[in-house]
Amino acid sequence: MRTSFFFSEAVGSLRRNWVMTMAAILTVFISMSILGVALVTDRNLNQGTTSLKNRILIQVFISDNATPEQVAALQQKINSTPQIKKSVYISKDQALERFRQTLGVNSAIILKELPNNPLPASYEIYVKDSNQVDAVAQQFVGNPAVDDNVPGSGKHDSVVYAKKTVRRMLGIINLVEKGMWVAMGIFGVAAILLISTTVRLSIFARRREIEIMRLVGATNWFIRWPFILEGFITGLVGSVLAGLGIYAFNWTIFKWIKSTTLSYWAVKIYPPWFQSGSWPLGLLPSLALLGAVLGALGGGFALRRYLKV
Amino acid sequence: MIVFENVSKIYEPDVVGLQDFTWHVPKGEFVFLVGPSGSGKTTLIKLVLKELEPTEGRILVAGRNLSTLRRSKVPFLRRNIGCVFQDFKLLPNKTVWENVAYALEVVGENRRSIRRKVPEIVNLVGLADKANSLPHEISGGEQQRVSVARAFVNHPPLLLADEPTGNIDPETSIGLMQLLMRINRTGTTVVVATHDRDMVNRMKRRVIQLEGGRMVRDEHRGSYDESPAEVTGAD
Repeated sequence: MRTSFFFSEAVGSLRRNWVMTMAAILTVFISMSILGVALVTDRNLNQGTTSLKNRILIQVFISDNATPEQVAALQQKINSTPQIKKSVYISKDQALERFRQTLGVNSAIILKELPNNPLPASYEIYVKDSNQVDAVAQQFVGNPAVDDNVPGSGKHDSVVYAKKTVRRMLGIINLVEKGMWVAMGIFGVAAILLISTTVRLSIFARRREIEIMRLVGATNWFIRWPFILEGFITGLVGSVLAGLGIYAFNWTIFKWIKSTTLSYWAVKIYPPWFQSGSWPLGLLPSLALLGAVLGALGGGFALRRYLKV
Repeated sequence: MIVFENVSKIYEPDVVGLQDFTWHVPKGEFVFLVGPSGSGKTTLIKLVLKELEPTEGRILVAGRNLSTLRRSKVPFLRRNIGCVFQDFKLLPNKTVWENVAYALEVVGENRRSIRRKVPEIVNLVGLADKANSLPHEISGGEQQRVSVARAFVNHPPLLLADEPTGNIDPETSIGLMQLLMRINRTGTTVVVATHDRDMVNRMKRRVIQLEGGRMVRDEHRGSYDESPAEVTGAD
């Protein structure tokens, strides 16, 4: 294979037709940016919802009057409920310690006035599927070990779980996520069409050259390789640029969210990508590869109609 | 080298390109195809290159039967046929040197033999000092010599020229024809389609005259018009 010849042919023609090259790179850049932003946003929202979902926990407060047998029976019931992922026992002392931390510097003054520890012990229960929160929580309402008389609370407030707002938020995010998938599909198709149109244009501009190559006795693959390489290079450059653009975009959004008053919760929903695990290391190269492969395919396929002998 | 047996080419819907054409060109011959525009000269050349398929008849080129030749083998047929066109058909973005070298790259010659063969042929056509020029920087006559150089650099057994002097002035044409003669003397079969009356008369070679897709004359050592001897004989 005459790799160096094909490569120099491809680079040479990219340089000669630099306007077309710029147009093609820009096309790839724009399509891949849109696709990439959709991917990143989807990914981040997904992570956000996962962390929100993890927060949907059921708190079951144990009555101070409950007998050890009743508490043991409750523990038994929690362990045997299949929908429960895990549960954590919070003793009265631990509850008080948490309360003290929440109050901060003033805690000593307030807590000194208390005759005894008013906080109940509790179980914090995490369910496997956030949609089952209701069903699971209802199982503990009216349990003999459960305190129905928490000070200042109404009926059943001893079993506290998933607030309506959180659930509504999850619903919205779910919808956004579905929309993102649709958008990604549309933009993916748009990217393919745009890239192949650009490649076809550049080939149309050079159809005379292709005709001459055929007359000189070049085989189809001999003509095709430089075009495939051209597409590959164009796609690679365009999508690497897009990757950098996406990085900048994501970083800007993250910064902006951080600067708002909502920062604590919002950042959980929309984290900067380097904090969200290993995926960005996978995304950039795969985006670049996708662009390059699309370009190469575009180059190869768009030639077909000019290679009929 | 070329055999046509009762070949017809009818273009859609019913334009006659070539009709019942039987022809034989032995190896090493120099043949002129003459006749007005639309008489079938270009159709003939395209049929030899398998750019067109005949409607009827059988064509053999360099021992290959073109009707049974697979599409994927067509490039290999063309490597045995050098081509020179009226409009030169040079790659506009490549220098003289690169245009000639391209024909060698196509057949897979290695770097070393390309470096040896290209200057040789560029010298032969007298363009050594223009080797690094682009086609638009040199004259029409020079461009045509480049295309001859490209056609001949592989030393193909057959060279086809379609109106090679059509776009260049008469004096330059003589030089070009002499170049084609020299190529012919190396044993290459040369077929030249032309309008150029003076050229044909000067060369005294086999002349085939076409009209409306039919061969109306096949004369060895002929001239563009009917030969003076015959004209005298008719008197």
